[in-house]
Amino acid sequence: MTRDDDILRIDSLVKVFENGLRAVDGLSLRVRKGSIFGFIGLNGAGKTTTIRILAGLLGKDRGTIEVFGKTFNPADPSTKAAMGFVLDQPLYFEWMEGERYLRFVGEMYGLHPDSAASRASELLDFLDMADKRNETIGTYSTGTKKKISLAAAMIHTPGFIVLDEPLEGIDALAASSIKETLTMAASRGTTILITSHVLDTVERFCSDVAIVHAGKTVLQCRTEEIRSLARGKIAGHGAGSLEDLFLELVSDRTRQKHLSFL
Amino acid sequence: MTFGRREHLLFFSDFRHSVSSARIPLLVVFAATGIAVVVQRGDLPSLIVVVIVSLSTLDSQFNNVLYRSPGELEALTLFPLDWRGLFLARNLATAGAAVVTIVVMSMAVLYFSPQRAGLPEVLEMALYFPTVLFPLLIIGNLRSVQEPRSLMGTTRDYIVQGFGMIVLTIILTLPYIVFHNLFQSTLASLAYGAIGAFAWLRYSIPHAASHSQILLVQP
Repeated sequence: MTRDDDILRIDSLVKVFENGLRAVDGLSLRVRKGSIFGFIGLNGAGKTTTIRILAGLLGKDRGTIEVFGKTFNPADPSTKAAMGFVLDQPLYFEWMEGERYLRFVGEMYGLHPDSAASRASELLDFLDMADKRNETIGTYSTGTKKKISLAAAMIHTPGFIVLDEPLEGIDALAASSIKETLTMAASRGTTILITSHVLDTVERFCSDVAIVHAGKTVLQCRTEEIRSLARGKIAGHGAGSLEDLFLELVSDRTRQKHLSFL
Repeated sequence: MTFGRREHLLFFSDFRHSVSSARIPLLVVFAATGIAVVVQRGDLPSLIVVVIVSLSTLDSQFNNVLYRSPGELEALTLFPLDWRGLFLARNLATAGAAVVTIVVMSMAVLYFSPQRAGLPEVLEMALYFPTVLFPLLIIGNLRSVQEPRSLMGTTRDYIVQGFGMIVLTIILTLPYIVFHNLFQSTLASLAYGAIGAFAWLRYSIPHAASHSQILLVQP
């Protein structure tokens, strides 16, 4: 793989919070252009911190980040214009109506007003939100808020979309329409980085996977390599799924746990 | 500093938000109080009082530029945005909302007043307004980056902040009183307003913009 194949390169990233918590501790990552990249780990593993650094919402302490082959500068407008984000706590202007918000976001990313309006309308239809277009975002359900965040992240057709837990806390219908939208974007060459706790979804949906644990990357591979890797690492138990491999790498299976009343 | 399409968009969206419903109850309470005083006294108070009361309803527009709703600073961070443009657009939207509020409040008070306001009263108001507007914008920009309020308050908070704004505006009225009433110098009032505008554009906006950029990335 050449350097040009990577849309994102992170090397030895470190982030220590004021309270001494080492949220990211030497994390390294390569995300191939055009891939759907599953970024998985336990709660507190450092996924969200890494994504918030990429979004410009947190500063890093050490390490290097390259996006689109250039040193990452969160203040660089051209980098921001080429990226889209759906964060764990979706960000929007609660007082705006859904359609007005999407048009606003589109125009903020430099789209012509007519183009922003037509894309906003199309996205709302595609995500089954047409009936919500004139309601203020503050009144939306969790699933609808996730969908409007996804629409906002995609309206300017960025080359790289980063999604932190987009499928968390939403119903199967909303999850299905989000996955359908992402699959369509990926088929047109958009690179997608996604975090999720639903490992079988990641295994079926993503082309590449990285497992992060205690702020470090413990494994990065193509999804098709998971079964052979799992067979090599897990002797005797497990079906060779991503879940088996994940549990092998991030948990202590030798520790016997039991409940006294069961 | 340019005022391009993004800044126009930010201006119009913020102006629309500023004149929307959140502050209407406060405005109605103050307007009703003003009308009651006018009707009871039977004379026309200085329209400067109307300006002070109108400005007090715009606390969050002046003093919390980065948050119109929770998470908004973070949402803005994702856009390819010049922070100077954001402050310029939102400050101008606040000034526009202040003008609209003052006009509406003046009309309401004057409608019930037994006396009519003439050109001198309107000119006095026009002369006075810039002498408090720009200092309020400068202080507001400073407070917005030093103590941003990511969560908006309750109605009680709005009322407390509204009275805080009245006190601040009265204090900022002192230079006008000195120039206009003591020295009777219209020119000094105009010059003071112009200096305020210059300081706002030249120093306050760049300072607030540079601090917004580091507000989020600080550990």
